[in-house]
Amino acid sequence: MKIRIIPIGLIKRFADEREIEVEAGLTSRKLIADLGIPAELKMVSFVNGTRIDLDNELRDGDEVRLVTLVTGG
Amino acid sequence: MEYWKDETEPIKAFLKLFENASKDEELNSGLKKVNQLIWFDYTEDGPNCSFNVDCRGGEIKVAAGKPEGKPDLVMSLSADDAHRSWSNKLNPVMAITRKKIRVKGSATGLLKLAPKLKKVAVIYEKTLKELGWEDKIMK
Amino acid sequence: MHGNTGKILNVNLIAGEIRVATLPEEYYRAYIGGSGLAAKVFWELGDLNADPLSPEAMLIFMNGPFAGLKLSGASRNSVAGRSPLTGCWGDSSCGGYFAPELRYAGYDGIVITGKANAPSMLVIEDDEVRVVSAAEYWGKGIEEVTRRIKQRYGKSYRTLAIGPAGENLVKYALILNEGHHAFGRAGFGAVMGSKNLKAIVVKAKNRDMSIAEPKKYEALRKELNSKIKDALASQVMHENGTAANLEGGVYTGDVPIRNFTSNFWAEMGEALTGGTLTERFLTKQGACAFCAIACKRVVKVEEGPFAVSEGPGPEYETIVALGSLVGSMDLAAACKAGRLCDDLGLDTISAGGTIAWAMEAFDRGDISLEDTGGVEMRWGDMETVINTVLPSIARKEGKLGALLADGSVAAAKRIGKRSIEYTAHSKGLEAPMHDPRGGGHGLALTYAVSPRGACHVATPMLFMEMGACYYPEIGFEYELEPMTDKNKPEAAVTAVELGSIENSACLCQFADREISIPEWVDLFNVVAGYGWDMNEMMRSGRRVFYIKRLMNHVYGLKAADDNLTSRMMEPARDGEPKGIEINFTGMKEKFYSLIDIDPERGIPTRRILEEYGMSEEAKRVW
Repeated sequence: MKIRIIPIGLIKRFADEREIEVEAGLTSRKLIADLGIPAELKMVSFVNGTRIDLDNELRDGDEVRLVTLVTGG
Repeated sequence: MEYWKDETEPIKAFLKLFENASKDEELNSGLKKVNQLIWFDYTEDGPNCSFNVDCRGGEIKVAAGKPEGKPDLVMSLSADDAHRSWSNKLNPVMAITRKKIRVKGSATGLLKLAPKLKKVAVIYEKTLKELGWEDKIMK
Repeated sequence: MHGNTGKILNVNLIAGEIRVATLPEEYYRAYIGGSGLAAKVFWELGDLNADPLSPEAMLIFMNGPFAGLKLSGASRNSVAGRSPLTGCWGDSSCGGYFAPELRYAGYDGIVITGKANAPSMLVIEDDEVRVVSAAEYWGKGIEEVTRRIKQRYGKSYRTLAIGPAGENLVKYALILNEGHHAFGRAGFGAVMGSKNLKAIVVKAKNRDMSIAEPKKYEALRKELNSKIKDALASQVMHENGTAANLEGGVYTGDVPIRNFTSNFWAEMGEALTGGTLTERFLTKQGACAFCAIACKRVVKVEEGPFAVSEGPGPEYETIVALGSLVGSMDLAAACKAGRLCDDLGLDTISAGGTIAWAMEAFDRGDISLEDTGGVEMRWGDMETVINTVLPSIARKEGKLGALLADGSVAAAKRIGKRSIEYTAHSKGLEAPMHDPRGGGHGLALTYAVSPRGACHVATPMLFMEMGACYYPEIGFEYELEPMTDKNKPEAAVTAVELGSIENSACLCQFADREISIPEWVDLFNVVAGYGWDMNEMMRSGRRVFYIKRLMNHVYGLKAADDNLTSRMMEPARDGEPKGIEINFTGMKEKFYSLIDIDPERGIPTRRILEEYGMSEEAKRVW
């Protein structure tokens, strides 16, 4: 299935915004690992504008924003 | 995996490591003080890639695979990182902070033994030599 | 002594008297250094009731035990005393280059009382310390003053200077080191101004330091510097500054918008985020002494209404306070406004917070053109902010300057009409640019219990909420979920202890993220010979927190003052945190019981004070 990944903020250094072909049943958590985003970053996933659980399955045509909680002072 | 041919090799090595390490008085009593059922989970490298240590009730029982009862502590990591850990080349607290090791339950007791990893690494090196795996020893 | 020199400069500006004194060695082990040691000194020797802007007020600059070390993050020191903005205990922390030079010159700190009879400067050259005239610099901006002082004395002379805002006693005036690094919060620039002290200059001939265990220290230093340099967070901040993930913070609802009335503004995220600053305006990275992270920014805005020459650029707080907080998503404007605040000598957080309040008040009609002297206070109007509002505040000019120069709380009290309800502060200190509703409910608690007022660097709670902390040795193994109250009181106890250690050791929180608890203990022992174990170190952290609480008690604060304005606690109107309540009361009650603070008086119980070796202190309050 096709999804659009939109990296936000510092996640941009790990991925570019683009459409990718992925296997059905993919979760945000697996997507994050597959993209090589370091496990130490606490991640949040927004699908089509709404925050979802990292273990929910993504669906064809989803727009996935990947956000990390890291912030400066 | 960088150090292992298949999922059975690391388990073989780590079971022998614990067998040898429990012969050391300090490590033996230290582990008994931890008093937990611990599952070392490397299943990201293979479905059978794990072992468990039951150091409750003043005994130490080591076995391959997932434990029968619910573990008090689960440490999930790659078999390569486990190799680095036992070789004292990977600081466990930092690894946990960096999520290289994912922890379920309380690791405080086990981590009290972290300073002993220097000693464990010596025993690990001997263990690898016993198994004919000198090439795996980290310099 | 090791690490610390054991010597303090006592300066009485009325008499022009300068003496070198020593502090009892027990003070260091008990209160660590920096703001903790300053609190103890103030408690013992300061005139607690003196008005902060009076000659009797005591102003303390204090290094930590690690000043001067070639260790990333060890460049900081503290300024402390009674804050003119809040009227209660205040302290502020600064990086840069002053602390190491003061250490090399032979001093742990400077304690200043009195008032010079004409604009003056303190010049410290090892044993030679004197007060000289600063008449030629008075009235000038910090950029010019810094440049001219270095021309006169030498580029390697390290400077602290105030601007017109400090001279005019604006209550959130700051002090700048090297014209770039700030003692931003709580208004200590005004305290210097009230003493006719325009600048402090220091130069040491040598860089000798006494280390308790040099070999062990060297090994530890190499290890820590390497970890700090290689850490992902360090690399990210090196590349894109402390606002590197501002865009992410917009999505989580952490970034405050229009005086904390909104928690989501999509386009603003990309417009103000660190990567955009790097792309559009960054000319080079800047660093504090010996720091490999180099999170500071040097920027240039070539063209447009907010063009600004190459020079110090904004960090996260400034970008937001002079950006989305006041309704703007113009990054160039944030650069220029930040530079202007630097030059005038104004804290960007309090300035942004006060201006945001005023914009909302104007929008609601609670203040009119009559109140502002004809100045329209419109959301996002950065041209007016830069050309009129900030200068008016700094010079206390006109009705607008008079209204806003004492901060948002004073302004709201003067205006009335319930405008106090939309200030965003705790204890009178404007809140930093992390909205607890998105940044983490634990922040609401730590903002409220922080002795100096709403502060996100008094503790590492922000880092805890983002999952960057793990201290199993002291039982901190929580995975915090930001928008809940779960484990927050327990986390806050550790946060308060560790934060007090950080602010007394004067280590930068970006660097010390990589330091484990056993390594902290090691550092104190091999550098300064404190002979601590983990437990004693954490106890000293808590002791520092306790003494600052006692100070506030003397200033009339009670448990009820550990609060946040409703603006930051009412459920968010939009964004990720929309509709979610903060269980503030529950968290605060639990925290108090865990850390032995009396639920009415807001001070540690007599029993716990005695347990912490503070029975003399206890006698003054119980």
